[in-house]
Amino acid sequence: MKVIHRESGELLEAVIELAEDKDWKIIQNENTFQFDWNFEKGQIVHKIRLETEEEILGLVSIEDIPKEFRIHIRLIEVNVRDVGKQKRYDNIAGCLFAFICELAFQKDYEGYVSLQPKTELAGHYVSKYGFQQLGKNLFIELDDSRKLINKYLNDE
Amino acid sequence: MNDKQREYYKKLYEKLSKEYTKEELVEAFVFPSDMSEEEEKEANRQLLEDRKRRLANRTPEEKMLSGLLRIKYQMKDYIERNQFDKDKSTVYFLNEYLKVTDKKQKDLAEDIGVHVTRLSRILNGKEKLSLSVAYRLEAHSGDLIPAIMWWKLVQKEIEQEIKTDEEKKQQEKGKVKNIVYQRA
Repeated sequence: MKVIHRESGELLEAVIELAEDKDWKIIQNENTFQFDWNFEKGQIVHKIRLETEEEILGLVSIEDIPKEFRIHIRLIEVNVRDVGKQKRYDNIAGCLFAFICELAFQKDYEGYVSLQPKTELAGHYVSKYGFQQLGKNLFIELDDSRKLINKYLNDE
Repeated sequence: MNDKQREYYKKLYEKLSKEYTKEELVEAFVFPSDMSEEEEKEANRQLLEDRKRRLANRTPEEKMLSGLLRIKYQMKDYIERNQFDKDKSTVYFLNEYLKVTDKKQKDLAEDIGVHVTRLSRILNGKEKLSLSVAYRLEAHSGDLIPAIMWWKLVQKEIEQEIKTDEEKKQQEKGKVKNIVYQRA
């Protein structure tokens, strides 16, 4: 999986792994992440970083719902240095979405991933990532989920 | 989420939406939902109903796609891990492939043009899956499971053998003559 270094256009290898105890000090630093991640401590939280560096570039918190064969994305946040026009890297959130889709295939959930977005952003998740809208929910599954994985994690 | 947090996220969103466009926001965030408890309950109910309906109405093609991708991403996950796991062998994944494609050994052997005895030997762990079989499995899966993944599984098993099979190593060493360099 690769993120794009915007200044050079270089593709840089990234890894996603479970957040460990040592990461929480950084995660809770409001100069790096602005969400209240403390509230997510009991949840499944993954972090993304460059393969060669320890700095956390983004976080995703999920809920595994086996009874409904789906993974629900609770939160995603990218490092403050990588938001907006000044960001250093592209595709951080895309890689996190794609990684969760991959997980949802591994678990035999047909790549089904849901989220409950802020109303005014819903349409943008649809056009950017290929989610489908169902009332106030968004979900992605099967071939759309595969396409999202191929777009961001295409590293076979 | 309690009221204090709700208020915190409301203010944070107001601040961020002044600084960034909506496109930029979806490239960096999934905010907590802004629904009330009642709305959230209703949204969850709607999602569950739709999920059940979709699961019940899956076409054979959709089931095949999701089954093959399950195998592919489980293989990928295992390949990327450093540890060896005897339960995640080529034989295991090949058996999963038979289940997902609903094929008997002889049907798969015929589909990919190998003798059924050979496939059976592979499935019994008596013969390693070859590169040509890996290519054929890739084609058979409609290119969903790349040959390289089968090959990496085989490599992982060979690596494990090299690390652990001392008997075989000594056996092979015993067959060697005229060693070209001897440490003093």
